[in-house]
Amino acid sequence: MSRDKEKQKERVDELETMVRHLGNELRLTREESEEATHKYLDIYFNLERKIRQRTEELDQANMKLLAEIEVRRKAEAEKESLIQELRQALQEVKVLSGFLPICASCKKIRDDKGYWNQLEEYISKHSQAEFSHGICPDCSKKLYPEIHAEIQRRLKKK
Amino acid sequence: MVAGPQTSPSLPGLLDLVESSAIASIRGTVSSILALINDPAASPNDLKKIIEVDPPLVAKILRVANSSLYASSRTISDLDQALIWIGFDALKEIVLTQKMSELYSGGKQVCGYSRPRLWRHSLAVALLAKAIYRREFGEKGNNAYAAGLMHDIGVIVEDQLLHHSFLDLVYQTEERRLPLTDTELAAFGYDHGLVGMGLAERWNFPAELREGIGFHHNPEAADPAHRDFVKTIFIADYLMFEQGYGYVDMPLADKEVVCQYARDLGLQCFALQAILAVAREEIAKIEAKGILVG
Ligand SMILES: [Fe+2]
Ligand SMILES: [Fe+2]
Repeated sequence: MSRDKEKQKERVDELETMVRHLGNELRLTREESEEATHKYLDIYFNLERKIRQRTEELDQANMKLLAEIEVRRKAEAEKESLIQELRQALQEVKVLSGFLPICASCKKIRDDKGYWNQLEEYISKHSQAEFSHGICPDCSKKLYPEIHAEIQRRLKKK
Repeated sequence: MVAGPQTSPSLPGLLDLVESSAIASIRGTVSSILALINDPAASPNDLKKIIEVDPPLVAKILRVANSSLYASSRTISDLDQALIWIGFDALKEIVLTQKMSELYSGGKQVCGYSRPRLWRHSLAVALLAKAIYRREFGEKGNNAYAAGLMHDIGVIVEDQLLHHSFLDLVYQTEERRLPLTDTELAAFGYDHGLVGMGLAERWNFPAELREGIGFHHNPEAADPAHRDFVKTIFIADYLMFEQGYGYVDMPLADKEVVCQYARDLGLQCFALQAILAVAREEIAKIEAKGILVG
């Protein structure tokens, strides 16, 4: 190899080395900047995830609170209707246990508004009692004398 | 007069002295940073946690971050901004560098030796070792930078704790034209490589770093797993001495040793020269900014 050619080859080797060095430097710099970007995204998403997690926790706590409030409201409403019922019952007890104005003749009862009610109507409205209608012997003798006599005859025969 | 082995502490004795000296003040930060450099899963937050507990360090880092070396049109006023504008890797290096520099202030010049010269040497070796890793091996070389920066930590330990004996040693080394490691062994029974390795062991440095510090004057003795790494530190150390970035005027080892190691690593002569030029440019830039010594 001539001296010139040797020199030329050396120069080419040098240039190749420089290209290789710069190539490595470029690749590493690129990798580093990518890595940096990833790290920042990590931080960012981590933060976001934390915020989301915290928000979820708050939401859950909120829901719990709302559910509890609802339960309490229901309990209160129940209590209130119970009190209402009791008050009503008390009122009725009062009504039935006080003096009842009753007609000496037809036995109608006067209510607090001044109307005259049939006895059974009034009692069933203001108490748990229910009426089952029948007829007593005295009334049956007065109202249906023949049927009464027949019934008496049959009873004696027995 | 060189102090004999009988008047200087044993190696474990010297390492005990380190723990109760000012040198121990860098232990926490340096150990944490080295662990961080070797943990691929480490996050910028981990780095922030290490720095934040040390306000003077934060101030120094912001000073460096705002120097034109990391030219940015905006003022960097906190660590988050530094992380974004300088980058995670660069910030790790700045932290290690600033923390290490605390050991190298003060002292006075004796013959060719001074702490600032030793610091300048350490920084030069760090930059060259890292550049070799990046440009030739195509790797980041964060550990190479760290090992370069810390390879002569044993020297600063001797300077700080065996002060007069050490300065006598420097005088002897230059007077008798001997390698420093020879006069160290004769006077103390150990050299600065062993001191550094002992410290690296006690402070739980990663294995690669421990080997790089311990065997930077005799890579053949290093663990085969880390031998190429140690050879790179050796080459960087040698070339920087040759380039005038040494810290004692002493004879260099046979050039053939460096050439052999370079061949072992597949490094061609002109490739090394090209990388050396890049590293020198970088050192010149740092020196010009006046941020060489912390
Ligand atoms: Fe050394
Ligand atoms: Fe060195």
